[in-house]
Amino acid sequence: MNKKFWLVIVLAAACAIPLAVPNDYIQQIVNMIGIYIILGTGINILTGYTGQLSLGQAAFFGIGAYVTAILNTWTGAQFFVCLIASILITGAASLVLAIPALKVKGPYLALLTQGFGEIIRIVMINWTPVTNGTAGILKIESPRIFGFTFDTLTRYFYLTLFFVVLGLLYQKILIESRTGRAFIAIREDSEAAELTGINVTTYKIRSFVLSSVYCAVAGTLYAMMIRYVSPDTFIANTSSVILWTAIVGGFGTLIGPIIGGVVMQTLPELLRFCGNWRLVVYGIILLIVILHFPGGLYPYIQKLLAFFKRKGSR
Amino acid sequence: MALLELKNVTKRFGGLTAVEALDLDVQEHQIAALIGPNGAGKTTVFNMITGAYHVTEGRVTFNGTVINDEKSYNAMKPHKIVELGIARTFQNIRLFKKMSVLDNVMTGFHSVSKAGMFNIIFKPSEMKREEDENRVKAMKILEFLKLQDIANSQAGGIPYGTQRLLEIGRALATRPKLLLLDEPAAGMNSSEKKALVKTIRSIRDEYNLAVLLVEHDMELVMDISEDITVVNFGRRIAHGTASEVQANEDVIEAYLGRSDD
Amino acid sequence: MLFQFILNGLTNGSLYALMAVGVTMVYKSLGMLNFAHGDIMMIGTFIALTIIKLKVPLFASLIVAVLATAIIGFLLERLILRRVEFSSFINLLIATVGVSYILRNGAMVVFGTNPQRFPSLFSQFPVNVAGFKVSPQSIGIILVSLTLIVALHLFFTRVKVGKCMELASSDAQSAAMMGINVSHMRFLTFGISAGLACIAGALIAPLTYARPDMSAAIGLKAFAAAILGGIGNLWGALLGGIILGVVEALGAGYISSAYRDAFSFLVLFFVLFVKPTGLLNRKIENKL
Repeated sequence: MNKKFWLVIVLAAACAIPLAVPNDYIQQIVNMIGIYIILGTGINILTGYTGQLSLGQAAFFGIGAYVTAILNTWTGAQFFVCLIASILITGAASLVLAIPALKVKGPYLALLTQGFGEIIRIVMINWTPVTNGTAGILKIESPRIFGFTFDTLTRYFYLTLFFVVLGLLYQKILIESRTGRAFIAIREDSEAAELTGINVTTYKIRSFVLSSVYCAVAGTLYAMMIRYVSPDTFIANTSSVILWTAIVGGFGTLIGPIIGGVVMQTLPELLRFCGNWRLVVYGIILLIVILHFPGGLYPYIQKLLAFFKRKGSR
Repeated sequence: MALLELKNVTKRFGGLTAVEALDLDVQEHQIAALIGPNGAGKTTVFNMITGAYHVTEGRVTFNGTVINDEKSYNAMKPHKIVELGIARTFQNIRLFKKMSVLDNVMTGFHSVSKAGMFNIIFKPSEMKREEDENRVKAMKILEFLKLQDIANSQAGGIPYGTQRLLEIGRALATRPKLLLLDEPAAGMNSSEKKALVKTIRSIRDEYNLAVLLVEHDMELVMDISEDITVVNFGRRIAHGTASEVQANEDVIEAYLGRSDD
Repeated sequence: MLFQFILNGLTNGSLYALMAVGVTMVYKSLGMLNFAHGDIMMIGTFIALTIIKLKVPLFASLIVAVLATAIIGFLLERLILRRVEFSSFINLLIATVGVSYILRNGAMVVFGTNPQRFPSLFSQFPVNVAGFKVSPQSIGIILVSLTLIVALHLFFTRVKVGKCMELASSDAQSAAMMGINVSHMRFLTFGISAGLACIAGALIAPLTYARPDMSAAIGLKAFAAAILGGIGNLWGALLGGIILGVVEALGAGYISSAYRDAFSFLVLFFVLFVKPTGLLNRKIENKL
């Protein structure tokens, strides 16, 4: 009962966010936080819970965005058609990657996924008739759902929020279900998991595909918000940022991706005063976080909250 | 017909023969033991029964089904063998350390439950019912092992002996017909060992299963086992009841010949 | 044509091999792929370029740059990787990815994003040898790379420090028991690996220009070459580099030059799928 109460409060507060946003510039950052929470949740399931490292999430993000961009600009297909097509095609691509990925683990898996990301980027740049090369695809339409057009960033915020909540909710239920336990078992000890009756192979594939579906949703949302896609967005740096989004908050925790999304997207803005050096400072701060808080920020935030609770009850 | 039957099983790693032409039977509802000096090939035998290793020669049959065979297309995947009804524990405990005690047992129900990724969306009530049923069953197993009070503790943080029990609990959740215990008494003191003997017997009766154990503690083995197979250098050197095995010349030589055991 | 493709392949391949040797050395001692290796190469290249611009003779600039890059390698090990050593491998990996991110973005600020010309040690004008056009640059790159790898092999098998390094990375425990300071040896490993990367960068840059983003593709190819040959194996790195270079050149020549990089990654996929232990390492039975 208490939990539901807090959930409603948090949701209401989230819905009220646009009221506190002074301009479109900040609204776009807030929307990007939402998109990165979705991306972070996807990799959290794959890496945080199943223990399979990926440095190629930007590729799936990119496939999702490009499928939406191409479908929309060529055929005028609307949001849900684009979304479903993105999910199907990204899921198929992740299956292709999952097959070799099953045979390797640890640093090799990271390498494999990074190589996959590079191949996808090379295809984006060179398959000009379809992807329009380095120029990218312009003039993607804003989503229209049941006659309502999400053409302002504030309206778009609510569309994004819907998918963020859906994604987080699904993550929570999944992780506390039979499938989630299988994922965690594979992370903890994949051989013991197999000998406890879990088909490790198919569950790794499921985790891969599921995380790519999150990327596809984020890709569709991204393409229809920015209304422009280009290969520059889906580079190795983006994959690293997606991975950090899940790590900084706390890998394998349900709300880690939320903390990560907020930190990873606001930090570069807060560092504007560093001028050109801002991405370097950003990298250094993240490195320090990884070195000093190997479990992410979530456990510390938890401690802090517990501290205030104790103070409050006195 | 025996529940588990190893016939003429050989395992070679490169040029090294770990197990040679081994025969081993476990009858239903029987407590059997596999003993032998260090490096005799006992763990290799477990790994062939659970499907982790392919056999080089020979055949392993469980409940009438071939589960491991020199023809590799007959060899089943480990998780399939678990579904058929063989569960095991590990010599060096391999729990899912960051999960709760209860979740470790719940994970054991994997092969006997169904809910998948889509049920969350399409059949949430069915999933919830299955989840609730499994939780009740898991608590029953924990109560049986007297672990109900620590159900919500993290598995990696509970005492060593308790972790061994929990591993048995996780194995029981898969509803095995045969339970393989790999050195269940390792690291236990004598009173814990006595309790373990009782627990193993009551598991056998309560869950109506057969037990095959590998153990170094001879007192415990002789006390509990109805059928003992002795191996040395990958070969079976003796087989029979406790008293028969204890009287066997080869066994005495194998053990006394090695002062380190 | 075929001859030209193969010569190009050997040229690039020997550079990949030089990078792969560094990857392999670090992997052996750290148990981890250093995802910042390509960026160390890129930084080394720019250090060399900066010194060259000060009108220092080319050869002297390179020596200074190699030493400076080696120091960066030392620092990477001492300041960062050593601190994560005992935590999980995921953190170690992410730390190297983080270093890569910092170096790349830092280079963009300091050196700009435009490609810059880099003077070559060798003449780029091809000469006719028995009817084939051969560029001295290609031959120079192949010879320098081969010489360095052979020298490194001799260092690891003949020189005392080298032998100690070899033992420290392949069996740290017995090395420590024999009184070898394992931590110093790892320190040296990083330095040599970084120095080699700088040389590789200085050899590549005349062909590709010096750019902050030159690191990504070459870093990945160095991993691919090291794994293809069998990671931890010096000759494997050489073999892997050369195979990769030739496959890539043939793919670029006969199929499509736009997808040049994609061919090497496809080779990587194939290797990881078929034989993750690489060509020169023995297969270990998967103990489930």
